[in-house]
Amino acid sequence: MLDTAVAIETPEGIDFDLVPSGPIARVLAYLADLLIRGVVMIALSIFLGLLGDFGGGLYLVFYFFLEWLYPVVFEVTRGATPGKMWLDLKVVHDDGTPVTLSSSLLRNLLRTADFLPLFYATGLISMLCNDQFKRLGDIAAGTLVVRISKPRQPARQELPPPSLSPVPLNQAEQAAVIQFTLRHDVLSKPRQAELAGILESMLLGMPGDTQSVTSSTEEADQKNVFKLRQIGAYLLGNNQGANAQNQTAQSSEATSS
Amino acid sequence: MNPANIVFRLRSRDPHEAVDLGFKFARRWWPLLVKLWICVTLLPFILGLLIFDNSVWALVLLWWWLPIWERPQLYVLSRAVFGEVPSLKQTLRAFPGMLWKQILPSLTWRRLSPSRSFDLPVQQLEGLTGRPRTMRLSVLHRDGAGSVAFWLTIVGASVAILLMCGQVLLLYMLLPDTVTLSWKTLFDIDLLWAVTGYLSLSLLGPFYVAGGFGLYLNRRVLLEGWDLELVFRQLAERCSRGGEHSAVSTKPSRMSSGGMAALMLAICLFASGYPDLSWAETGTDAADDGQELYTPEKAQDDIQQILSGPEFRRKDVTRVPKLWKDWLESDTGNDEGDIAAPPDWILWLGQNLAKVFQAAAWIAIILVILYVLYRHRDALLAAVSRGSVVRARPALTRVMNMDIREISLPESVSKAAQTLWQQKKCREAIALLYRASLSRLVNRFPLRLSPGATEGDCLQEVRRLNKEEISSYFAKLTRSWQAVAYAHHIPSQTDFQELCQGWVSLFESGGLENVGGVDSKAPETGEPHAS
Repeated sequence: MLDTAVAIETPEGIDFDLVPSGPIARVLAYLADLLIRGVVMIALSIFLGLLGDFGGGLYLVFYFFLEWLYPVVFEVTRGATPGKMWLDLKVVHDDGTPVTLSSSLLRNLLRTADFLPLFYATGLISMLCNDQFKRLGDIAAGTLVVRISKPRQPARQELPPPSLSPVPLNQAEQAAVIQFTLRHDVLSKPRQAELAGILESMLLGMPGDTQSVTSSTEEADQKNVFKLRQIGAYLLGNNQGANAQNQTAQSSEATSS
Repeated sequence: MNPANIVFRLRSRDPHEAVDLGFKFARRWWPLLVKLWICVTLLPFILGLLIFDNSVWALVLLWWWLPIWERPQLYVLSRAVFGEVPSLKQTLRAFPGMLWKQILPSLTWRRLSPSRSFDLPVQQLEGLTGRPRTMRLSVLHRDGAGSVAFWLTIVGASVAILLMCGQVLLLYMLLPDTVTLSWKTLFDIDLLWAVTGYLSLSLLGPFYVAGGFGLYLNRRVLLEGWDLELVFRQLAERCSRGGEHSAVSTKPSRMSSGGMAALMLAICLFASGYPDLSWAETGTDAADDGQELYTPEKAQDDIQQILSGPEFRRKDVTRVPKLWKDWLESDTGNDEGDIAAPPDWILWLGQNLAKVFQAAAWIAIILVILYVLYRHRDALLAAVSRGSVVRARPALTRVMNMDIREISLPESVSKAAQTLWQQKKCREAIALLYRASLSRLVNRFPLRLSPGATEGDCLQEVRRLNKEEISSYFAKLTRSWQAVAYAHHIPSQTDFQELCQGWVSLFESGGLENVGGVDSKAPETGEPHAS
């Protein structure tokens, strides 16, 4: 099964996904870094130009350090250069651990090889040939440039009151319900009703106004969507008072039956 | 569309990741895509080369008609991701059908659209035109997908130019020094540029189409919740099966712990097979009775004694030449002479340094060869004189720090062992039997042991003699010896008697000349050696 993510298992038996980034984002990140360095060098040249030959020498020294150590320093201290941060990229080892000084130095020194024959042509071809989009420096240093996805937390008032799922959900199912809740604005209404309809039998077991069986199908669909989003809200951690609400619902059900 | 047939993992991805997914598609079906690309474009390209005087025009035309060449690529990809990869022939047969659809806008006002490969599926797969197409595109372009499609096109075009120039530069770099070529002439070789341009387009074309398709597919997944549908269907199925769901979440962990237990068990079993290989010393047992108590005062004395020993009284004398003094003395004498004329031997060394190193290298090589020969002398000798006398080495005298020369044994081993046993020196008795057996086996049978052999090694070597009686007896003896030596487990009287009897029947009764084989069971006569 094709996937962009690489599964990593820690010694503690925890699985998590690393998503190696492809060439497009990395080219853009590199161009952003190039721009930043260019601006710094131009500013320096204006300032150091006032110092004559001495300034010229100093300028070359600065140029050297900026060219070779700019990525290393940022990668070791922050995990990514500013350009990479801008594109949500980060440099890590193959096993997901933070990049160390030696591997960062190695991967950045090998830019010389990746640069050949012209402007990272080798590196680009290497990225297209490698399954994890590694350029030669990455292969040598055992590093990966990964994409960091920031979890999207919706505003709390958007969510319906939380409710427990009537059936225990495994991890993938929890993720799917959460996705359903978060994509409320993206998925079209009929499609949402259709998706929630798949789970109709499960949602019937949920506490709530079960006696409204007589309502139209459209209303029933809306109810399903609402219930599924309630479970999603619960899974998203918005579970204050969920137990209490659940209990009251159960007691009301008990009295009604 | 059936989500179960999809060959990529369904989940929501952000647009950049979706492009990467498309690149994965291109990598997955790369041979087919490139073959297809060549089938479709090579002929027009060659025709263009023949028609135009300047070959670059052929490349420009090929580039301008990219939307046409991209259609069959998308055809392959759009079927392949749902699990049915079309063959090259099928695709080529379908090509004329997709060629004419909206070809005019594609080649004119939409040609320079920055989201070409992203929009292509809407046109080709959904077949939308006019206003519905525009609305559809505006929905698809939301959430950053449009900007990523833009960057995909921009970066793709730049990389294509870059690779083209890169190839030309590489060829230029590889030119020998004797050929001088000015940049002007390099730019004039239009055929070179056309061919390199064609190659770079062939490399990047499939990736560009696949990237745009990945982006499109991800938008569809997001907007229509394909990933949710798949999981929800599985969940609904699980619920309808009923009752079992409570067990599902706990099952994997239970299974893994069961697996763990099995693994541990296997390790234990494996480890318990090893005591045979453990190594033993027959030296005196430290846990002898009758040793007096080790008091703190005595320990203190010992510590003091060790601390005053040579290990803690080491002195290093380092001599450093007194440069200052040397300089002063040299300054008084000759001032300039030594700078002008360095000693002769330094001059000679400078002139013949290479020869000196050569000589040193030869000496080193000879030494290494000699060392290797010396190190493997046995194997070499054996190889040279195969079939002749193999046992040139003298018989081994010590194994496991035990003396196994025949002289060291008492005249009648079994008698001596019996005496020791009666004196309650059970350990010594078994040790004597074991040592004597080894000695007999080494000296009177062709048993070869290395000085570092362990009990297990000895047993294996004995088995290799292919004498059933001896090896079974020796195995029994080894077991009881190990039990005594390591577990202080003394065998019963009958066991010991059996061991003694066995020793007598195997090694003593046949006399000294039973070198060849002791297969015949010797009658239990009395010992020939009266003691």
